[in-house]
Amino acid sequence: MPSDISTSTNMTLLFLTCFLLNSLVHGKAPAACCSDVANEKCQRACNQIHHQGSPIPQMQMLLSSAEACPPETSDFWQCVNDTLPAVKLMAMWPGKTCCDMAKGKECRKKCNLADSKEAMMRACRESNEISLFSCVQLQEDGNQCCSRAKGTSCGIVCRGVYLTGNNNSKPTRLTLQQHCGVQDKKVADCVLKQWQPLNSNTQKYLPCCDKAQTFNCKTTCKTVLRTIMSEDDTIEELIKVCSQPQPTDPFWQCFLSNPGSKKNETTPMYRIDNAKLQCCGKASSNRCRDLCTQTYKKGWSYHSEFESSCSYIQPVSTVEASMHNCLTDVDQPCKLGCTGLSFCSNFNHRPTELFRSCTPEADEAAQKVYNSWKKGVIHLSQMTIPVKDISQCKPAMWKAIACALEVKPCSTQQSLITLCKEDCLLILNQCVNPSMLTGEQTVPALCNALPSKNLAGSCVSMDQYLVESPYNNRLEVRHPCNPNPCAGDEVCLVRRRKCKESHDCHSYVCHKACPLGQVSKVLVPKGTDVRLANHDTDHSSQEDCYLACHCGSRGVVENCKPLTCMKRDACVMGHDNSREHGVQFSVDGSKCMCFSGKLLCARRTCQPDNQSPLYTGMPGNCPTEYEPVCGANGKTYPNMCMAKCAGVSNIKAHKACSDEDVCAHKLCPVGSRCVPRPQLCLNDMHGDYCPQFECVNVSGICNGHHHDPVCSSTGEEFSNTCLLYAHGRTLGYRGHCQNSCSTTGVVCGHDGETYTNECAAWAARVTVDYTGRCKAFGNLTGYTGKTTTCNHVDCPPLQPSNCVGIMPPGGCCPICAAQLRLLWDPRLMTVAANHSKSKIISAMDVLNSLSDHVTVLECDVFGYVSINGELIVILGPSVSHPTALQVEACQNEAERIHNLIHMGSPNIASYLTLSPFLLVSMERSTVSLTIMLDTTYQSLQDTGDNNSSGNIQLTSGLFVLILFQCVKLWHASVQL
Amino acid sequence: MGIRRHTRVMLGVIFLTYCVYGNFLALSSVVALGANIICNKIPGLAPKQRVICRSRPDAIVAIGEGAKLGGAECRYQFKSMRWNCTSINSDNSMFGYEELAGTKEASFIYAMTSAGVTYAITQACSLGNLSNCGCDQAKKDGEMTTAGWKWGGCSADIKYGLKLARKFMDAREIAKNARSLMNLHNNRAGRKSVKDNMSTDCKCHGVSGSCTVKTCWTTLPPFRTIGDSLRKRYKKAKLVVPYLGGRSRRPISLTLKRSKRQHRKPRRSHLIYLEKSPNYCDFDETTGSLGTIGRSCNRTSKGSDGCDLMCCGRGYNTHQYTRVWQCSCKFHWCCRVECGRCSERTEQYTCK
Repeated sequence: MPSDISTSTNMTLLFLTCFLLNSLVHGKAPAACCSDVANEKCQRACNQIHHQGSPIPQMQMLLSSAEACPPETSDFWQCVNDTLPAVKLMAMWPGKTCCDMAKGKECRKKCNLADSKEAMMRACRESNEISLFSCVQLQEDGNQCCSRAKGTSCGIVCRGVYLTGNNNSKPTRLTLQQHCGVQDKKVADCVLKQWQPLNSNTQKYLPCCDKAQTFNCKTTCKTVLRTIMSEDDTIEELIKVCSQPQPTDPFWQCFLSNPGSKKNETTPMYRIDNAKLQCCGKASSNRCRDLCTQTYKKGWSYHSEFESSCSYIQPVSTVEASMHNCLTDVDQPCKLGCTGLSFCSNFNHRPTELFRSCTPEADEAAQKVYNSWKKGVIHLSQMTIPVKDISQCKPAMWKAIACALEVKPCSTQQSLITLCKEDCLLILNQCVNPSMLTGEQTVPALCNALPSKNLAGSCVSMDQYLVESPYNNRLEVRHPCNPNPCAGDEVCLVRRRKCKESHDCHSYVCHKACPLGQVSKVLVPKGTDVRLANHDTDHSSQEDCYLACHCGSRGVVENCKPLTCMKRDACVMGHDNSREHGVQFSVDGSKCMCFSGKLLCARRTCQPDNQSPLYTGMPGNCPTEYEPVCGANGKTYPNMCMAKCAGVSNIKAHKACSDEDVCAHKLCPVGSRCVPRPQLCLNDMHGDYCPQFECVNVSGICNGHHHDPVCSSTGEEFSNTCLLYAHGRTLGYRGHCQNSCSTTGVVCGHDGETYTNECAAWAARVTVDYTGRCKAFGNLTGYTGKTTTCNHVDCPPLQPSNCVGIMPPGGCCPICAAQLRLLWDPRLMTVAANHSKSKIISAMDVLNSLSDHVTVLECDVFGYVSINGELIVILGPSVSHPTALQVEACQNEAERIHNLIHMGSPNIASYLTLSPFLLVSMERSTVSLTIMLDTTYQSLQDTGDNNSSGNIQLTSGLFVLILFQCVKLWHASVQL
Repeated sequence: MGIRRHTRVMLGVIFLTYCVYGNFLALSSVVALGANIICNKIPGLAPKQRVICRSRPDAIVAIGEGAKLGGAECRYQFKSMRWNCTSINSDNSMFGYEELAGTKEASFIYAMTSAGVTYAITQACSLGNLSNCGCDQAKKDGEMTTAGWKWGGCSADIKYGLKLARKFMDAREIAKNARSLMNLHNNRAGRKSVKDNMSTDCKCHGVSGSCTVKTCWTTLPPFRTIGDSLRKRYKKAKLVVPYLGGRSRRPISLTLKRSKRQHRKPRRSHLIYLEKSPNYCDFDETTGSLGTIGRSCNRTSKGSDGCDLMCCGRGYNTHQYTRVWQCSCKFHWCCRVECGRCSERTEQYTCK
């Protein structure tokens, strides 16, 4: 018994001592330093904190008391720093304090014992201890910031905030600011940045504040958006001061719809018609420009207003003529050739003429119009002309007129069709019903204001449409894409190469395409870069802004990036002489244009001086010896003097570029081989060389999608050089494999480069000057005659034989084709180049793009860069023995493209690669079409002059405008 | 066979949820400031509607405008009746007419609001204000119809409007009772009236403006047309009773009360109601009637806005006052407008 009592008292004594010791250990030491704290509140807090058991509640309590104890109460903070277990734990490794969150006992024990995160991780599985690991992660994030703290209180508070996990509340932020704001600003900023990404978007919403209903709301809105707070807090504040959010309240509407993009903007793929939108810039009045922009950007509902006030049916047309020509060009572009009409059969089989609307619908409409005229009255928009029965009186002529009104032969000058005065007099004199004429209408009065037939290009003569076309059975000019065989969302491109598989091979290819707008009929093939207008109503009167977009696989234009805007500045040319932006004029016989403050002219440096004895006829009085040098842009110049005149100061080598061994220096990394790849860079290389080689992977792994075709010496075509070498072939020439050309015999191209054979030249899109190596060069301005320098060159005969050809600049021998000379603006070219993948726009890119626009199967595009810096584009037949008809078709096609570029039509200007070309002039060859039947056609083929700006001898008539104008004039004259 | 039954059910449920929520609504490419908070705080929305709001904040703007449009048209149509489409609750909620009993008037306001939302969404598409829709792709350029004209221009995308309006408005009716079936039907009738009233505009391209060649596109009519059309339907609204079915005897459909054949369902374009309307003379919270005390009436009219019918025989107060307005305004160069003031003694009558 006594032993029991003694053991029990022993036990209690033990317990008591333990308890005392415990309290001593836990209670005494902190109590000691806490009592040193001056501030009463802090002292109490200090004691309370120390009573808490585990780190997290300790920190929570600490934080709540941190407000009362500013950093200045250093004794409190020092005490805490020294004695608080939580702080000690935090000092070991960030995350130690999280150990309490562990769920498993084993894990918790190991965590408490661990001295690093790795040790803890060995014991605890992440998938089981989610809260533990997220806490640790948070601590580590916090440590990044908190370790920079210099002041004690700041460090503790910072870590404590991360531990307790209430990151984003206002009181925490205030506490943090209080303790870290002054000395350790970096810490505060670091923490704030971690908690929310600085929402710079808030600035964008400032305009919404103006829509607030009350003044109080407006001012609060402005202050709230300017201070950096989280989104949630911002909105909470606004709701408190302003009203409850309602979707019909304009203030809240502004926040809900995304005002980052301006309210007027729509994404380019949802615009109504991007192609016509480009025409809006040509409007002369602000009102029409705004209406045009609104209609074609998004508001089809503005369409009727736009039509009625800016339409070309009514006589406002002369004011807005350029805009309407542009719109008509987009709506109904001129197309070469016409077939398939039943009523207007005289218009069939005209492969060399251009028509806007050669479709079955137009045919039916013409028939309806003719039938309605049979009733004896011709109804026009403002007046009626009584006629006798037209089925008796000159029916063929009336039929031709009805068809011409609907099928619309193209006139180069304007989009309206005008009847010729002679035709008008002829037909009305015979067929008008004089008894029904009202007093003011007399035949001469009605026809007087029409232009005469003699004025070339001003009116459409009906003579040619009175009979059938003489080319009825001529199949040598084919238009595979007219009528369009492809589906509505595909574009038709002419296929000029042999197909790989012999079956199912058409002469056209249907390519997936993107429409340039929801309502647009203009399609661009997939993979093209397009340039769309970006009319911003603020500045659209002073500058033109564009977007560069891509036609992607989804079938819409997307990925748009804004391009730098071009201001419509005038060009100052010396004293008191300035030209408006966009105006073309000629200086010293060469064409120039003012574009955004800079003059664009064919380079004419070093003018030849006629009087000087050294006059050689070449620019800058350069010698005529052929000593070729290769410029940095990849072009061969005939001699050093010419190169300097052309402005090329950086000479790569003193020999022709084709002779230079590009791959002599080790330019390619190991594992690839250097293959020559000649190209002419059009954009300014800023002193760099235009790369003339490519590095081809020899390991055998080739990218099949890289499209850079090459032809092997055995006549097989491969998608790229890598595949060629992978199949063990040798390189024949670069480009697609050509048919109907010879593969033997070195030739000299018109560009002054020597090619291994004719096929190589054609594959490089260069026409052959003469056979043999290049040894001379001709006049650089392209006169028709052969120059003396080329005396010892034998020129191949022209085909067809009766052709009077043109002389490409710099070449020796003429060629039977049409030639366009294009000038580009270097700023636009740089912009286009920056947007391309390779950062280069080469002449080949432009020529490939242009060849997609040629619709005749037998014609193709060739070209090179001339010494004056123009891009020479030659459109000629690509068959071996061309006939006169084929040449004429190609020339008319060239004329069509010339007009498109000259007018800045969106059909061309929408393509980013073609958009820098602003100035164009054309030269034609002369062929006489062998006509077996009528000689009246001879006069039609009157040779177009060499430097004509494009005059198709086709004219047709539209009564409406002209006759109405006549009557108006007549009325005016009567009233005077 | 390899998959167990409940796994299949689970997969099915997940797939359906994805279809409903994920597909159509997951295009949240529109990021607006705090759209989540704003959507949560807009009063009067059902949870599914808030989901739509969060994912398409630009659409909710159009929907709000549509509800407002519908409400305004409703008030216009009924401005001379005893019930003039104002609600008891003035808590600014977008759909503050919930408390109306299932009467003819309730059917009208549900249809009207639904039509307004459909109209506003379609209009927003045409104006390019919504990021996901534009012109009607089915009526694209160049397809010749049998009537001899071509589709062209930009047709209003009514299909998109119908789809989104249905998603939004029907999201509220989750209770499976007779009232919710009635609301669903009336919503649909409203949407249908917009669709049926679409008009076709054409442009003539022929020689000198003649209509030998035409291109046409569909447009929205003025909203008043739709209001009038629904008003006619209101007059011919049909009384229905719920048809109970299923194991839990819940109403699965509504059938016409007065029809010769049994269990005849009402037509889709008709408006339906469950209860007879009160006379709206007195204030009654249960039916949602505001009464006619204080309404202005027309002493001389014999119709519903006449003081006899409007005031329900209680009599009216006459209030004489002088009406003053600006008249004979003249413009002086430059740039001043001077107006005179005209006045007359008029009387206004309000119900007691």
